[in-house]
Amino acid sequence: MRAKRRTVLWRVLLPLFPLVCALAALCIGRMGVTPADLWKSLAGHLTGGELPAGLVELTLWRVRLPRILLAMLTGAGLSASGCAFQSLFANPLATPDTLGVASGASFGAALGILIGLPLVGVEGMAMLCGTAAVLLTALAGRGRGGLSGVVLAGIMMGSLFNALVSLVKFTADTETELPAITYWLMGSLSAANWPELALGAPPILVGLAVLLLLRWRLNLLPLTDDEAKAAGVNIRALRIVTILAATLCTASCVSMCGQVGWVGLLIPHICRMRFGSNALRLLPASVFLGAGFLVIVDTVARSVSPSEIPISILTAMVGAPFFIFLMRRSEGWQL
Amino acid sequence: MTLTAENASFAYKHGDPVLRDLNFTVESGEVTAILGPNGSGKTTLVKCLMGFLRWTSGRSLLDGQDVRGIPEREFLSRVSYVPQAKGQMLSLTAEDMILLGVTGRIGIFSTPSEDDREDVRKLAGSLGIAGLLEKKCTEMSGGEVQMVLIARALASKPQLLVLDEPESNLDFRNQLIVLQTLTRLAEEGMAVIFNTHYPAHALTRAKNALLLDRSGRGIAGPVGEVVTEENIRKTFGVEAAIREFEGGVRGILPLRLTGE
Repeated sequence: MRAKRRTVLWRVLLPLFPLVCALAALCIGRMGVTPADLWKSLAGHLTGGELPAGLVELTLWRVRLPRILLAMLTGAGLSASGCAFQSLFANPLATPDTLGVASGASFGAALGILIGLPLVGVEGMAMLCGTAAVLLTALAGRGRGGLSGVVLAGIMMGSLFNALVSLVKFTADTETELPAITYWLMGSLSAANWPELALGAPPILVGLAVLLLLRWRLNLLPLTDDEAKAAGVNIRALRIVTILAATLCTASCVSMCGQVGWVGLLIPHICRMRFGSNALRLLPASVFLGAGFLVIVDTVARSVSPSEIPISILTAMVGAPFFIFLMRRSEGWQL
Repeated sequence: MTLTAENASFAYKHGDPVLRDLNFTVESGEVTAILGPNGSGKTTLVKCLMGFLRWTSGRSLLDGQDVRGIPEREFLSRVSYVPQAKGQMLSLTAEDMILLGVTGRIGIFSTPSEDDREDVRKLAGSLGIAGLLEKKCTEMSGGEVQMVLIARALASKPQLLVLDEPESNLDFRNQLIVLQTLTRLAEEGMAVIFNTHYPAHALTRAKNALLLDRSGRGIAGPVGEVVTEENIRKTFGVEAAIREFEGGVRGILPLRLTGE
């Protein structure tokens, strides 16, 4: 009974978390906006009443809101694909970063930027190269080396694609393209605006929706092929759809805000500790927690210092200690 | 319900046949045991029966119908599989693990309903593992995991249960728990086929047995005619004594290797 009540509590709290983070983030930043301003503006828009000053309006809805939405989407997308990859490879260390998906997508996106493609093209390239990277990793790491095999293959694939990214940088124009690629690679949500969001959000939303709809079946992925088949499921089709959906999320996140590392490892494992490994609960929890987490990190990144800190620096500062904590925990890594 | 293998042979690509010309029948209400030394193809046979591997020649028939002509979904709704309880376990609770067995019955985007959960709780109760439902599979003993895997296979309400070495790596007591479960399922009308390293388990539990030798040929028939001192010597290279205990229970004791 107590367990039931706690479940209900979490069901309310978790969806509220990103919402509360977003509302708080709207009021934080170098341009002073008070909660009263936010309230006035919200009430004004809803009832058609009086609005706050133009600059406040602009900051709230043109600058901060798209950026916050992008942070939510990216956090949710990377966390969900982290969960999916962990199930897919039956490996608690599998994430968009460790499998080389993020590096592959980065290469595709960097190449797209270099040849001057529009965002849709950049996204397409990121998707293509990200998928190639994860397939190569799966092929290379198959069967051998148990848990570490696929991660080692992923690290190799990641370093290969990072080398290719360097090649792109090497050929890029040092005055304009190189700084753009470099800064974007370190991860930044500063370029967020409505038109870009309108293009970048749908792929993430589609990937998320597919994963969320399939969430019960994701539990079958870590089983052996025979076991999964015996449960009456077309496991090949399920694997392919999951890979595509998770890669779509990752690639779209990467092409909009660069390599935001660690989220896909950090968030799913925090949720595993609290909610267990059943994807039925794990996936929605990761989506909400990931969304809120990245809003917090991005708000810190844009407001603690006069110039913005690249977001991947912050996620690494949180992620690395947590990684070590997980590793040294008595139960160790668990799926 | 009957499952029949007819002149069934299997060979891996570019290899010698692992199984040759097997003929046997599994029927509702009966337990059938597959015996044989290591490497004789017991697990391969189970995979062929389940359709995970295809017979190179010959066929299997489900109620007289060629299995290749039955849609996979329908076949798997009637025949269920219990894998060897080894390898990495997921830290799912037993309830979730057993529920995975109903996945084939529900829609692609559906999640198990409260009714499905109720069914699982009843099933667990009937198997005597209701107390395990909240426990994580990673924290279970080998015997507990095996019972959960059996429950998962039963969750799809099959007519035939195929088990791959269900009592390996278990202690005496847990072996008995698993074996008694098999006996009870057969008494309730299910067809049960399991492969085992223990001739004694075939003798005490099975009505029929299939004894594979290293060349992949098999002797099939009533267990009393298949598991004999003579056949054990031939296939295992072991001198064994089969004796009857009180109540008509027969046991077998390996004495020495042949030729010593």
